Amino acid sequence: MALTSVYADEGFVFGYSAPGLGDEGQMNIQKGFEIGCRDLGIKCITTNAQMNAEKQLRDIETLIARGVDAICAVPYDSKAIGQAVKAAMEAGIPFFTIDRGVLEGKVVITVMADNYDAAAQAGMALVRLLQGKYHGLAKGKILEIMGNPAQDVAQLRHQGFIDVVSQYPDIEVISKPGYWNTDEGYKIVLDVLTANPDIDAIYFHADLYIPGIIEAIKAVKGTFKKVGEEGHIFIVGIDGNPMALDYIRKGFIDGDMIQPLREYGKFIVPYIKAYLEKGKEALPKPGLIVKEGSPYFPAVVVDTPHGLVVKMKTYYVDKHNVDDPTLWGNIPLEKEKLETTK
Amino acid sequence: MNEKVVEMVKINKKFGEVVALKDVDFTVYRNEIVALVGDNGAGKSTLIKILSGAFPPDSGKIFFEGKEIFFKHPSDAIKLGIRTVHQKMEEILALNQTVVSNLFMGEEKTKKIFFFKFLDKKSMLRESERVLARLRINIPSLHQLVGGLSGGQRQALAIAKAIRHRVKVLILDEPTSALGVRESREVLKLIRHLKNSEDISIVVISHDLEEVFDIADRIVVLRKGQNAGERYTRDTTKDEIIKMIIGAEVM
Amino acid sequence: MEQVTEELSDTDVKLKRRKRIIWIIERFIWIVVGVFIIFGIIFVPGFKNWLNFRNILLHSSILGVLAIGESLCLLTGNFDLSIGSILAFAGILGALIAKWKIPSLITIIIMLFIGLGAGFLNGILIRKIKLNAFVATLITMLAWRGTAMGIVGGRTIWDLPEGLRLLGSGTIKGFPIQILIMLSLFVFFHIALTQTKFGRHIYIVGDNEVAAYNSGINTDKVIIIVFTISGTLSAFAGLLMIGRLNAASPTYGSDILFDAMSAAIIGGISLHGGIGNLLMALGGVILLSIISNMLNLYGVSPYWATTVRALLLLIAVLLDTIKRRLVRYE
Repeated sequence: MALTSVYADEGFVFGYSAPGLGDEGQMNIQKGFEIGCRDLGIKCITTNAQMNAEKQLRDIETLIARGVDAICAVPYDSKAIGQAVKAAMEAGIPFFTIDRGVLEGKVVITVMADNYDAAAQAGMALVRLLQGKYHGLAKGKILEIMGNPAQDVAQLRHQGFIDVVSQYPDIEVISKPGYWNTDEGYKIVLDVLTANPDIDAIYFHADLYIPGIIEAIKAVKGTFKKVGEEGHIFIVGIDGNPMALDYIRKGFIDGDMIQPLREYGKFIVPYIKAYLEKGKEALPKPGLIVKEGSPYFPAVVVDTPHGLVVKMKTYYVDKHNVDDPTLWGNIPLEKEKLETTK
Repeated sequence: MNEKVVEMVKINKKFGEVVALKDVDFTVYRNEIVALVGDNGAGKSTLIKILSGAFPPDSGKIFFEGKEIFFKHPSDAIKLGIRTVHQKMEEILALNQTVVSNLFMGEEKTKKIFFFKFLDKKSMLRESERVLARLRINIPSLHQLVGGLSGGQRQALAIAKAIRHRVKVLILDEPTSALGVRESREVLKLIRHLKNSEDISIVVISHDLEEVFDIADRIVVLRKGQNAGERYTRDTTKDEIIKMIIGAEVM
Repeated sequence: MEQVTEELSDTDVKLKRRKRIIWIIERFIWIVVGVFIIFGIIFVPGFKNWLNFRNILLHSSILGVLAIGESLCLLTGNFDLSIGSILAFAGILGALIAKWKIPSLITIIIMLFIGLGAGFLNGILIRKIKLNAFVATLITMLAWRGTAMGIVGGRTIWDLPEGLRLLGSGTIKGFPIQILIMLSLFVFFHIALTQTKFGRHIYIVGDNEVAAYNSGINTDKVIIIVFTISGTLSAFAGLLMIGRLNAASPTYGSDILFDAMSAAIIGGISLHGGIGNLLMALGGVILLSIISNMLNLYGVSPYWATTVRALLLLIAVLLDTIKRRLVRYE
């Protein structure tokens, strides 16, 4: 039974289910989707699950009841979201996800960052930096500060990195889990750097670790050597938030992999519209999507049992391109009122 | 010896429609042990609560050492030297605290060192030893936690806690009801010793006539909120008292 | 007559033996700490190093401050679930105020007052509004965390003024101030607990609140003050944290509640109240820090860390039960 849109005469209405809007990452992802809708004259209704899987299910039920034409969600719990996917399907409303995938149910398209690729690029960046330090030799000791090893984001960001770096037998990697906790990261650097004063580089899974890393280096070494100074420890990671960009500018960290947070929404909205208008033939085909001039492409398209997955590239930013205005960390979040339903 | 310490005259107390006490007289003489007996609901605890200042009577007078007094709060009674030891040990003693700590609960002694007040543990220990010796209570170590004491020792401790200060009238509410035979004996011995060695009057509320006849000098009976009789222990028998409690006419 | 003297010496011996067992059990946490240190020195590379021992103390500093407040609450027979949230809220507010160019000293005082107020609120909710400790501090835990999140929209405030960071990251002759502060606070509160009238009242209220009340102790006042102290210490921990990380985020302190309670309980403070002391809690804090330090140095799979901690907590709770039985009865 397909519900007809209440706004059939005025154009499409898309529902957006955020897992939480308490961090700038999610806020930027939501903004990207909203802007994507705005650009095509589509109305967007946003819900906020406030970091609760149960609430997200209810939010989506609300969106279904309001008769939206399509639902796009960032799943709080990739498994629990399966129920919502089912409910939407039964109501005839196509379901999409961005930033994270689903582990249960089948959605039309998932657009997310290629965490594995991001990690691989970070690995390459560090290899290059180490070669620079050791006169062309790829050698050194790297400390990896992981996220929560039980989550697939952390696993991908670990695997991509290791697969690249392990090709160089003279590079040693020490990996420790920080559980996405800044203070834990601080303690890891404190302990490992004290026991291994010869650490050349640090690779972190998320920007939240940065303050702890810098302060711990200061605590162990007594001072902090910036980029270019003798004794500087290379620091590279993933995310791209304003704080990280600031630290790159100031020469504290070397580089950051920028996630295309705003791009997910901008990319997927036209495809949602096309799918509603033309059906399956409008969907991207498995393979590569190329977009000239965009650092987030080519994106890889894969068909999986949980739907079509589009993995966008991440973009390495260092002091040379840190002021690129298209980086999400450089775009201030406008404090507009979003139309949200409770 | 026939000096009146406490005299309660024509005490009346009603709780709503229920008459708890009607024209009750109760006297406590100097240095005696008087037992207050009666069946459940006879009014014993109400009378005692009025005497210890928990609430005032509806009418009647209370004299202490000849002067009329009006209690507004239990602390008024305590100030005059009237102290009650409640029935329930669980409401008096902290089992994971030492004997000394319990004896001084709420009234810890302190000494000043450089503007700060610290616990004066030595002084409290010495005084505790004195009190226990005074009562001839045998507890080997005062640093022992009260939880490790027997029921009899705990009851003795509760009494010691009350008489650590100068007490003129000590009210004991069912002091041996929770104790076994041997422990009851110890506590009764303590009570007798207390009366003999100090200038103190003791009121004992009890259901146990054995124990009443064991230590009391005088017995006062209440029935259904009224005076039902009064005898010197040596002048009466258990049967007579029982008859007064349950209400058969006695000459 | 000879029989009597023999009996006496028998009880004497029994008493002495029990006293010895109790002595050991009360200090058991330090025995465990000793065992772990020996294990670490032998098997864990990098452990045997003065700098590493300093690092272990750095692991302990913030947790230690929180453990003091939590222990005081536990001793009265309550507990405080909001310590992590007050830490975060005070940290965020402090960072914001400092960014508005308010002098650091005033900022610090404001932060402490926030903690004091939050703790006082907990006390009032529990004693005057008569919510139980779990519900009351759960509510405030969510409220302070949510407010911190809302104020900054999930963002991190970074690059804080020197003065604000002094206590958290400063050193005196190379030795981190945060460690000195943590140890001083332990000493101060330990003395207050064991040598003052108020400290004694904390124990009595925790052991038997009715008896405390009957003997004239103002039980409401004792508990409200204890929670106020806990709140203030939580805010102070927040100051140390933003100091040592040079950043403030509304997510700080999210997982630290479990560690603070574990440290206190593993150390020997009873969940029922009235039993334990702060030196035990310190032992628990140091033990947890040693474990996390060893896991950073040794290549153990991260999943085992949680299992090890759970096992230790279990052992500690069992020990606590045995000790309580032994100490009370023959």
